[in-house]
Amino acid sequence: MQLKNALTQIPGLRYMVDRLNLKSGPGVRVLMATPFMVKTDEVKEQLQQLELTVNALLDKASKPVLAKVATKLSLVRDIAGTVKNIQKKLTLNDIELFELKSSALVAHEIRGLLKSIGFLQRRIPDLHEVIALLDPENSGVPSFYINNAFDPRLDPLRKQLAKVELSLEKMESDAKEVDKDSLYSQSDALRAEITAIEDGVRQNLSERLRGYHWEINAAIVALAGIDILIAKGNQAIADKLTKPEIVATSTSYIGLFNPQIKELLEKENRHFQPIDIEIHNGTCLITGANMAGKTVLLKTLALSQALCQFGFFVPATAAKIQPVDQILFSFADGEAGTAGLSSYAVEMVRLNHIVHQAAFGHKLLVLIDELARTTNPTEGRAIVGAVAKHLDNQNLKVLITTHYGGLKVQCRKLRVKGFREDIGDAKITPNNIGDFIDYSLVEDDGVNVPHEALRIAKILGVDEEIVKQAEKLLDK
Amino acid sequence: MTFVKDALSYKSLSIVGLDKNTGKTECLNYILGKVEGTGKRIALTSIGIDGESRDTVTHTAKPEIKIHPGMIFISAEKHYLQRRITSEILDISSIRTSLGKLVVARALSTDKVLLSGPPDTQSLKALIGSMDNFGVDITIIDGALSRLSPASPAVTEGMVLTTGAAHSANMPELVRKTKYVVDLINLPQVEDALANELDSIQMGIYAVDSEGTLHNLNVQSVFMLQKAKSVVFSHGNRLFVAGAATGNLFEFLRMQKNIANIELIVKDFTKIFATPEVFYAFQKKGGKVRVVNKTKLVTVCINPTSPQGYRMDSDRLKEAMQAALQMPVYDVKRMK
Repeated sequence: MQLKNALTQIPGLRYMVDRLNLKSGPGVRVLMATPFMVKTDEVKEQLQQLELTVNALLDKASKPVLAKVATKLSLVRDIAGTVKNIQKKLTLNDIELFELKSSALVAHEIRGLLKSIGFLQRRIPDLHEVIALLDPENSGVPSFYINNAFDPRLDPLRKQLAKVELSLEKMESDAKEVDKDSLYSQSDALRAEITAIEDGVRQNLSERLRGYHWEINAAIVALAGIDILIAKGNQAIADKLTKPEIVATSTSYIGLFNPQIKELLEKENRHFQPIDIEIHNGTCLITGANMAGKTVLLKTLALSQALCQFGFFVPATAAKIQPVDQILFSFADGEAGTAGLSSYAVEMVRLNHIVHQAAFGHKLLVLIDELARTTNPTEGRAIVGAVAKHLDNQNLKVLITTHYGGLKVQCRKLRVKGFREDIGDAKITPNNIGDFIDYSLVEDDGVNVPHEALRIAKILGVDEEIVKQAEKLLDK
Repeated sequence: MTFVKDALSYKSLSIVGLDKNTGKTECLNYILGKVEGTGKRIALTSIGIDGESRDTVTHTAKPEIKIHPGMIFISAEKHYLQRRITSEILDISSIRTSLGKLVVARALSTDKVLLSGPPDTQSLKALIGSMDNFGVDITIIDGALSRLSPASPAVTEGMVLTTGAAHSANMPELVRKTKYVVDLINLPQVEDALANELDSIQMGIYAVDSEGTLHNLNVQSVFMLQKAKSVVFSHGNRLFVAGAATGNLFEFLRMQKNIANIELIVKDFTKIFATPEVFYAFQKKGGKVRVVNKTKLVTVCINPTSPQGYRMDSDRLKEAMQAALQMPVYDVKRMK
């Protein structure tokens, strides 16, 4: 899976990617094609690179250099098409040669800047031979044309043409047609000769550049990679993300937060309560009142796992993450009704897919939000029990949220604490209800699920009669 | 040096013809010729495609735009690769046209070129702004007053208008038609804060209330206004039309009770597509029009000759124009 596909699937990933301040066209292209890394070493290596970048961005000496690099990166052109044309043995035109020359010069400059702080410069191949080919005068400026230095014959011919053109211009309009015609044909002949030489130069340049197509391409890819690292690094610093430790067993987070929701809350001067959680192999059932943040928790876990395996830092104060082969999830607010299926049917189809993937022995992170919520509680409870038991194996990390209590299945159970005990006389409204909930998780036996649906309904202003009736029915 | 000194005092200047063959290109070449040796750095581009060696409409010989060494010109990829001039590429702009990316180049010889420019007003503005990077003193736009071009030359600081026998062979009518366009160019601008806000809006009709807040009327076009009559003035008497302001719109507004207080805001004068009769009738009843982008009219140049061979008396035309427009007018062909 590539990042561009994951964007539409992993909740909140687009928010993170859209806010990356990439400077170059190739940076965007390469980022979107980033693979979901499953090999431990690969993930470690990428995160290591990012850590070095973050350190460099925080370092007084290298920070201004990297800022300069970022400005230069905006001049990097996407010349993938030109590189292909070189490989295809086509003759490049002036526009392609210009783009090649200016990109090679930028790559060279960035390489020099990075060398001064001893960072990442080895990634960029040395392009001085390419630059020498395209800049025979060694001017160092990116502008391009087939100038006289490319071929000694050009200078006298161009001077001669200018002379002829000047005489043509000066000639009185009543001059003899014969004289004019002679000048015109001289001009045409000179132009033809110059064009032929220019074409020869372009052909020769294109042939000689063919020997460097690998280096040119590698340089562009390297610059894209550096662009991505700097953007990710700046985001990690701004969003207070952390480098996860890559482990082979349990995944765990201290102070896990959802960057998007955190930002929303902070805009309203409210606070996102970070969560600590450990995820072991096997199934874990999570219970908790409505509005207790169960869905957000699952989504944040999916996001964080994806960020890690796409080489980003994660939103937490500390994290240990075991890479998985796939992240599979079923969310309650998923798209019901597609293909004419009911929300229950959609969920069952998705569930089946998860079970099939698990059967292959893949390492999976499975996140199921309110399993079987849309059917009757008797059968729903049975389904939750069955799925929890079935998926409780060593290759899988399974989190299932549910409102069903009294589940007999033997597995780990967590509960969101829910309403704070210390509310006192505070007035709870639909707008501030979140401030009165403790979102932290506790180990639980899962026998008594929280019964706070009616209390919350009341706070949300549901008709009193209905709440009273419901309470009456409960008492029976 | 006639009007050239004044014209070159602007950061950006457009040369627009009231019609084809009104002497726009000659006027441009005249200005370019006068710049030679002043040390001013010129950049040249156009709206759409220009510089064809023969006029594609009337098949008359047409003077081409002559570029001198040191001048910067902008042309689309396809045109650039067809050039005869020796020139070096300075930059490839990210602006795309149907003929490829725009190439910014510096002329190294004297020759004629095909110019092409940004396809819309926003990118035209961006391009003019980017010319500072190349040390350009003045950017000249070979403009067009055409309904077909979505890029408006009115975003330049200054404008030179060319008019002539090709537009109308009847002198009083030519003067009247020219005066109308000059009146439109001279329409007053809205306040800066509002102008900035309105400039980014590409379509729709909005009411502007007394606080300067915009209310989208959700009327797709002026044709739908009649039906939306009840909401049109619910936020006051100021209306902003992002697209074309047609004759129908002016007639509709003229017939409203509050006409004396109505203020219509358009993007720039090229968005007004009403006949002079309809426009002046609107103004006569007290209706006001203001623009978001205003350009300063530097001068009007006349070409008394039409491609069909009709020739007016240059002096008489000049006198009549000056009397009507209350500004100096030049016949480019006679100012060598």
